[in-house]
Amino acid sequence: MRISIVGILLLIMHALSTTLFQHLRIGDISPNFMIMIIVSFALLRGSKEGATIGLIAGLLNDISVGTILGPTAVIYGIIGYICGKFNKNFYRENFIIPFICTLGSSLFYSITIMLGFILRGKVNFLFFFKSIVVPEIIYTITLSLVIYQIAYVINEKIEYQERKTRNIF
Amino acid sequence: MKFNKKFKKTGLIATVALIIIVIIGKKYNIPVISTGVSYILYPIQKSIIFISSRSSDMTYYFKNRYELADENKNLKQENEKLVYENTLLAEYKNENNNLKDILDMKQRYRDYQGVGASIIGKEPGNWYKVFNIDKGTQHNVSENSVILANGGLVGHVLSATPISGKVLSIIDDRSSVSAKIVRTGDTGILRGDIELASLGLCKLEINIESEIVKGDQVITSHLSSIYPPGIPIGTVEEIEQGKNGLTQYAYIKPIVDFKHLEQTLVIISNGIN
Repeated sequence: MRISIVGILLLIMHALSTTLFQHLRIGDISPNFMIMIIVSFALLRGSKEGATIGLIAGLLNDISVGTILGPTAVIYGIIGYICGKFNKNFYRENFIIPFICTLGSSLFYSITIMLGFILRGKVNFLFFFKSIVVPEIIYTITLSLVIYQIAYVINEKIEYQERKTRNIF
Repeated sequence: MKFNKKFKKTGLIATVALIIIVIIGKKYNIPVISTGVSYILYPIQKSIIFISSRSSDMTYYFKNRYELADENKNLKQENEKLVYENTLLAEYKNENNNLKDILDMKQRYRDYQGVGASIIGKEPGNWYKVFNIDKGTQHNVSENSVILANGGLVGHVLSATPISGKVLSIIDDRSSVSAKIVRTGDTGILRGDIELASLGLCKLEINIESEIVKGDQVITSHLSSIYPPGIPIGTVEEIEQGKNGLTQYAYIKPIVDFKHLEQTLVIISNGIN
């Protein structure tokens, strides 16, 4: 139940971000929807599920648009695992921790991608931060507030269903 | 999340089965995982593109009825002019063919066989410029097939599944193409650059002694193993001296508009060999 719903959500989100959400680009910068979903579900469900969702989302990205299999999967997996660690210490109705976690994750993702560019000899950090990293982070954290609400509602629905089935025991 | 015993068992069996399938696929050179994912993603992406293009067409129709009537009138006038020019060009074509025969250059500028493909997905991130097309190995598109649009170079295929393909465009930071200036005959390396990708430009590294000027035509050179020679790439926009005094950099504006790219042409491999 949970696996299929989250899997379908990830698939649809990936398909949308490669097609329709291309029109959402502002100044050629698009927000990272995958990070928003990974952070939301990791915070709501814990590190094990966060890491799994991150790995699957990263693999989807690597298979459909990446050159080699792995890097994005590992980065997203780490993001999901670390954000899941905050699961126990926060109220779900609180919006500050999702906000901060999305900011940190987006920065972490951008820096790891930047490593690839540094290895190829492109070291214009000022350009990277000014025209890609900072706009992307701002766009992502603004939209993450909306996505977190949606993930919260979906998670509530799934948990309600699961509670129903568990009453048999 | 607690795994119970049954779930553990099925999970183990599924993983082992998946590994075996991947190994078998590796042996017969079939990309199993990417093929599976592309079979799932393809219908979703295709339907989204279809619906969005159709809906924009509908609104466009209602909005611009009167504009279209005007445009139609103008286009009819233009068409008459073009028919006249076309007959002239046909003459030129004959003349050109005759001259090519004389110069024995027919091998270099022949027409390549191609198959049309539309773009069904673009890279969601901001760093790279990779996209997916809706033609795969079923349509004779294979790895290193060359992609064109509007007669200009777009890039080459990184990998292909039976129904879709992954394309690396020339403005991507990881791409490099051996290019040649038509007027002077100098060859250089055309690289994508992250700082120029958002402007749709790329960078040509060339010998400092070559006398290039703004507006020079750039084509693919005869040195590349992937790209056939003589495909137009773009024009020189700006020239900059290198720091080491040995090279100069020219900013090339490609013929293709990468931001609004939708339809492409894939040169199928047997067209080249």
